[in-house]
Amino acid sequence: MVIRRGPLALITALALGTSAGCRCGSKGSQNNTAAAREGAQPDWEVNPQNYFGTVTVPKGRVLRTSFGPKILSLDPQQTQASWEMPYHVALGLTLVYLDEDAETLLPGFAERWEASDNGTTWTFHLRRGFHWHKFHGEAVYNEADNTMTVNGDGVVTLEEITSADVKYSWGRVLDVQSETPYRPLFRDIFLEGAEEYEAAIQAWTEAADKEKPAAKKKVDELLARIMSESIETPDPFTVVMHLDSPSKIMPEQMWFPVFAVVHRATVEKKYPGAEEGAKDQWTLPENATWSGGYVLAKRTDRVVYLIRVDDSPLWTKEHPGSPAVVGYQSEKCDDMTDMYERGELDALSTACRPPNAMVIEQNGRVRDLTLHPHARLNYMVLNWQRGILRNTQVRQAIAYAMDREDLVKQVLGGLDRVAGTFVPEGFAGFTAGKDYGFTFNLQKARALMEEAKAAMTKAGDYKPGDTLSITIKYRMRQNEVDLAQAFQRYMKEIGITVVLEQMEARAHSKDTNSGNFDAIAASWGSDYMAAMTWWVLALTGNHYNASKWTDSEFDRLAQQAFRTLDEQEALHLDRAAEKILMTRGVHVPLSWGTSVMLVKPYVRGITPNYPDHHFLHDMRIVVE
Amino acid sequence: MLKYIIGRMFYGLVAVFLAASFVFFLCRKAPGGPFDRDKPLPPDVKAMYEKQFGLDLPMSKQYIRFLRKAVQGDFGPSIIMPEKQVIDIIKERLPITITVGVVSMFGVALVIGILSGIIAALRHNKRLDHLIVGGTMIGIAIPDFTTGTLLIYFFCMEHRVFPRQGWGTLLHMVLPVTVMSLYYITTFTRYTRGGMLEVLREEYIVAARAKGLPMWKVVVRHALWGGLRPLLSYLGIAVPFLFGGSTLLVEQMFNLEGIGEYFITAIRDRDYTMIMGIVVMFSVVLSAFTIVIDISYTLIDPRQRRRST
Repeated sequence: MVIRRGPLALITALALGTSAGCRCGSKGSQNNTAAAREGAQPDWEVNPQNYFGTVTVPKGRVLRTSFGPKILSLDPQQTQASWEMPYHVALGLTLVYLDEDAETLLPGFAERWEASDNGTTWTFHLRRGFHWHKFHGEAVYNEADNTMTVNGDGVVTLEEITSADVKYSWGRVLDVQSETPYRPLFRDIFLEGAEEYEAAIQAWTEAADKEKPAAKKKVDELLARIMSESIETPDPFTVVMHLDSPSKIMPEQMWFPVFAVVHRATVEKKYPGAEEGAKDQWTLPENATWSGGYVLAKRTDRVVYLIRVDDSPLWTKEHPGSPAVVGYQSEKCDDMTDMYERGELDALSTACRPPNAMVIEQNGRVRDLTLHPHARLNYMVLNWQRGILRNTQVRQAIAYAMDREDLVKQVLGGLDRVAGTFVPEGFAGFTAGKDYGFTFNLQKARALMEEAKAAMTKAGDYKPGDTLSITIKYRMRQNEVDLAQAFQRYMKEIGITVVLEQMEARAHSKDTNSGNFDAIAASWGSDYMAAMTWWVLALTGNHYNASKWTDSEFDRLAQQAFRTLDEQEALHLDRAAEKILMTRGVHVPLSWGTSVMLVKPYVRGITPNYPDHHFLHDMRIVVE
Repeated sequence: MLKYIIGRMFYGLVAVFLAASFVFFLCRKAPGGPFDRDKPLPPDVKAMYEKQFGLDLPMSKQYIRFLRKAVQGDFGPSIIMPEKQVIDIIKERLPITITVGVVSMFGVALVIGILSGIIAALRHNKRLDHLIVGGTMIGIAIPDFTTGTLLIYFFCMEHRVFPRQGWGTLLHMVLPVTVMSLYYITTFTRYTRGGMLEVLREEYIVAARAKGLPMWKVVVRHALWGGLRPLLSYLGIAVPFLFGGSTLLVEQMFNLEGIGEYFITAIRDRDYTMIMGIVVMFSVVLSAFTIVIDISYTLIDPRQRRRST
């Protein structure tokens, strides 16, 4: 069934009613709303100097935003980076959504869901009325008026989405041929058979050529079993998932774009160049069929243009979305900040670290700037298999010699929070009160170095007078250069000579991921609100474990903590795991991140939140 | 003459082949690959990606595969944006690069450079000549990125006269074209002035003046072509530099979605297919341009024509 909305759809920006969302944490927004209700002029009109740059409400209501660098793929299931997710969530329908606080669960394709008593069977009851949509025509964005005009049919409604589409989409993610980076998330939610399946894939990847067919056969058999037994669709509007054990990230994690519904016929269609490696052609505006609340109208290398699907059941009075979205993609933070200042961007959530000078300068002086804690860890990895770093005391000495206060102040613009342990404060019960972790203690660091020298002398690895030297590899980014130089300075205090090796990003990534380094600085953001999101950096065999460090006791504690639903027990186990991690000194925590948001006062639906997730279905321009 | 042209075309093709081969091996030998990412991919996914683009094959096989396709103008899909063919990305982006380059060099720099060069030569050692020569010295001494930054600060940040970035209207073109053409205006002025001064001293010019021809007629009819010979030679070097250097900088500075800006991104991301597509495209265009310059030089200069025949 094809429903067309007229031959010529004209989308011009319209005022979106008076639904006033709360921008919690943003100073002044409440007053603005109250003032507007009373008919008074909003604060930003009366006191524009209290805001960063232009605060004139744009004529049109097209939301102009930027979340960071370029999106690699618009296929929601290929999601990789945090700055891609707002677009993937907008284009792909998932069973549930997160509200702007990134905590409250909202119905998505599923209107309700329930778990069995033992927590291993999840039944999702799907909503009727969700349809596939295509975009036909040409979208023209008028910068001056901030309006989007569509020449052509515009958004075209196709057939209804059913549970069979969900099953197909998840099967596509699980299939190794689809090359989905976040496929292991099915293992992380304990989907029945997914752990065994991942192990089989690993065995197949590592198998010798002659053993590969047999290994692949096992992979295929396990996939077939998962698809027939672990994911069931008893009727067109019910999806049942069977888990190995109860999961603490279910059903919250089902918002993740990797679980989005994709259109089988569009995805599987043979496009030119497929045999040469071309893929994702289905995401091009002229080919794509979308399930989400928006469709892709146009895409250039720097800009993504989305148009709202007005007949989607997703939209409510509280969550009306924006009639259209213009998403700028750039890693040039200064350029984006400049655009915001000029009034060419309505919301900017920057992935830049540290935030640019203009933002730091305005810290605390303007109302539309928010700096908020972010579940992100900046840390160092010390290669426990190389040179003097083989000695645990040397690694611990390094961890104690890092002057984190100075580092945060001098290198990270004074915005981050000092981190002595791995899991950020406030994360799933990890508040204060840890009896372990690193604080800056030069005396202790020097003492540890002396003990290490004695031990190394005894082992014949060190003679008095030898130079103790390590190399830090870092990318050509100013904050990494500054960090490496600071590291060199701190290590000098404990008698370690640090060689600086500046590298191109790809070369750095190659060396990092293959363990070819002495020391590197790294950063990691949480995927979900359980400590396991951090432990993957140190779990044996996990591809995120750059250090290749292995400790069976740590693995056991981390896995057990992830599997238990008892919060106190989980906290106890996670802390025990973290203590081991800190004792070994392979991973040296430095700071916990701060996220920067610049949001015009007339924008609603973007709230500072801990995981730093922002969704286009929440965000909109509001004129009171 | 035909033999000369065929010879030049042959050398042009050899140059393209050598440049492409050199870059092919160089970028594959550079550390890090397109799938070495900050957030590592699962090993099986990485292996699949590599297989998809033939990166799991021995280097020699990859090279032969590249050559076989390249002669047909097919570079395959971009590795980083696999939904698009390299040739389509080039087609999308090249017009911006060509527009900025051509307008800067031929629309602005050549016109202003030749005129000011002629004026300076005609006013040799007069105040106007000193002014123009002094101006060119300043123009040469200030690098593009300094001029660009100052212009952005003054016209975009302070006074907001022109857009800071992007493409689409005439206003978007003003600053990129200004930055790119400034250097060429100064060099073109100097080459034209030098060439004209030399020609103006020739006996046939003196004879033309003695016959009572007005100065503008002497310049246009007799002196100009001879006076432009050094400039023409320089153009053979300037055009490759324009597309190989200046556009990269200006496109980066003003966020223009041209091919130069993308070239830098492709190198950084190790997008091998894209790199090769751009290198071959640039090599072909520049070889073609060099051949055209060489041929026009022989047409203008009878001595060269004799040598080439």
